[in-house]
Amino acid sequence: MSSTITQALLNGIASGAIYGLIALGLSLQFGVMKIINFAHGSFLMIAMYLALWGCRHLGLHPLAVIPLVMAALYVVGHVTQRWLIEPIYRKEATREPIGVLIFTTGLWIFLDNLFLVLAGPDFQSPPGDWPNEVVMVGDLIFTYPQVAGFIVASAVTLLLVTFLRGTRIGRMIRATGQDREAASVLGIDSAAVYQVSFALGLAVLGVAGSLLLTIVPVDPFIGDSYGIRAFVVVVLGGIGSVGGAFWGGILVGIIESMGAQFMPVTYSEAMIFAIFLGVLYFRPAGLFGLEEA
Amino acid sequence: MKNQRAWRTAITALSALAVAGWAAAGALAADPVRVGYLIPLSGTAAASIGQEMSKATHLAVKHINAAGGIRSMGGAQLQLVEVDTRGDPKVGITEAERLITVEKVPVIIGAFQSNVTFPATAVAEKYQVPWLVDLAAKADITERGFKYVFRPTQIPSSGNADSSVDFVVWAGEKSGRKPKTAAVIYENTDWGQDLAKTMRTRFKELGIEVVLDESYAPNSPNLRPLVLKLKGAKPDVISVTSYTGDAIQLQKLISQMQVDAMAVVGSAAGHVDRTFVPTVGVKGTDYTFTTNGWAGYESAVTTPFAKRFWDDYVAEHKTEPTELGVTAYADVWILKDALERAGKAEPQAIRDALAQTVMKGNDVTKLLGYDIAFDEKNQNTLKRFVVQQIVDGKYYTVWPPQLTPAGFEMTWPVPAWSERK
Repeated sequence: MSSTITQALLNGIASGAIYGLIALGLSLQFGVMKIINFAHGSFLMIAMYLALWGCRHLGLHPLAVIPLVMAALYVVGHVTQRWLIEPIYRKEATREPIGVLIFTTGLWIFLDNLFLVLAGPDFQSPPGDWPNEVVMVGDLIFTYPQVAGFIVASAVTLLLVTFLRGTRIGRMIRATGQDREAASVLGIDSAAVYQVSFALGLAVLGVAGSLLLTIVPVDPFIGDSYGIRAFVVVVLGGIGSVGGAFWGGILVGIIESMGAQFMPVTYSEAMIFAIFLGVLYFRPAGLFGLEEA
Repeated sequence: MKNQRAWRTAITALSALAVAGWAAAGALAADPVRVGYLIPLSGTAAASIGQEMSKATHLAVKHINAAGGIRSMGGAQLQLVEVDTRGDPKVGITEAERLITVEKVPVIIGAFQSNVTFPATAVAEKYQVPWLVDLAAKADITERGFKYVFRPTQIPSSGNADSSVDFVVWAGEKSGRKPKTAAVIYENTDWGQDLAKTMRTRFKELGIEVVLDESYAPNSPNLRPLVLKLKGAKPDVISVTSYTGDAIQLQKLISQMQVDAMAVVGSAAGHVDRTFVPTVGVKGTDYTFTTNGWAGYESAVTTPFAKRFWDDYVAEHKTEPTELGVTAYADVWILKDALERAGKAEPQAIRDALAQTVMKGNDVTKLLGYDIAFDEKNQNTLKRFVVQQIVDGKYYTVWPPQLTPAGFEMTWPVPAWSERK
């Protein structure tokens, strides 16, 4: 393999891990609550601004802000679920939660514009040279954020999967996702599970936002393009499958990076969406998802 | 009784005299010249641009009035009738109509955005009222051949690409290191495609092979694949036509991935945005070239006229003007020049005077950095973009060479990334 192709492949895996991490929360929320959260990109944008704030005003390293942003997003998620989504969800308990879908769309537009007022329209990056530092392996060049992004994203995914499989709360979340009625018969408080899952989804997004900030500058509308990408990843990986979202992300990253070396960049973008449509049509459960009844 | 009548007569006579005198005094202090001004001040991403331009326009009116107004009209004062377009073409059209038919302004300046200016100027053409286009760049604004629409301080965006190519050729000849290959990277919009088309054609004519010709969707989440491809193509010159977010991302990646070329040349826009250097970082932007609509303080603020504008603007607004403010300020002075020659505040007279405008080597053109004269389509073809090089986070004009600040040496080709400290 020529070094350009190797570089493209590894770049793709590194970007893909972060795409996967961004999509993880979205997939979890859908898997458990069956709601589509259109404000996902906006929450990503908020995470990036929080990380920026931590770097600038607390003087923290771009990686050191991760726990803070994670905790903050967990709280944001809990509050959003408990006080905003839950009341709507409860009213519509007997039918498809269309109201929630419309609500999150409104929230998306509201949050984007709120941050346009609060933070201004400018693109902003964290201070310091760390994000521009590179490691060179022969002909290959990687930035610190690429390497850190891949390691952290993989670790967080692994942790979340282990948590869902191995802990009591994790099993409660999965049980509720599989069958809410049956879970409540077994004594699981679905409202509490929803709060935890939504908050957990955003906490993971907090990690993704902090990592992303070291790669691209933040602006109030940054969430739009990444939000759409997250939906693609979720569908490719299998809606509701957390591990699938990660592999879906890697796949999108590789197609984007490798494809661009053989065809115009705009075509490889189109190719991602073509595969997205193909998967929706032929394999709606996703490439890595389990067929559900 | 008789006495009373006499008094009444006297008072009437006195009042009549007073009224007559008042009227006479009024006639002496000439009627003000009302100037319609359309500019986006709210409700659009361009509002901050419109606000800077508006501030500079008001300052120009103040300076002109303080210096005795329009002398040929008995010292008539300029009076600005300012309207916020909100960046909305519909508002632009209705407000242009209102300015002309209700406010009876004999001339209009505006309206920064092409999508507003293009339809609104058609209203002015219909009513035969002259319009001075400030910075709207859409080619068709003058290409329609309207009689009443003048564009003194902007050229169609292809002019931006022309300046970029002219510079590359000049720099190659001057240094003896002529580029043989080029990459053309641009955002996939009308604007980006326009520039890319001009560059492609010009490079080909000049025998410079375009080894990479790629567009990307604006606000792309990830431009790394494109930059990797760029690195593989090994072009001598890289031309980048981008708005802020993408310009920042591309330049960061070019420096991180150590893409070496004789030069990276931006097409103004994102590369001259005030957030470009702070967000990419001083090291990452070093030696980057970009076109710019204005040559900057060191090159252009060289006359007392320019100095007064700069100092008063900074004193009043606590921030430095950019190309936008400079252009808006100059536009009012270009109108003043025409008004002096028109001699009366009537649309037709002003239009005819504007058409005859020739400004060369005066205060206004020194501030702008180019001369002004209109072709048969009322387009100023003498406007040029300058090319600047960023060194240590500062922009220095390097082309045309006569605008280079004293003591500054252009670096071409630029050092390899691995050889920089």
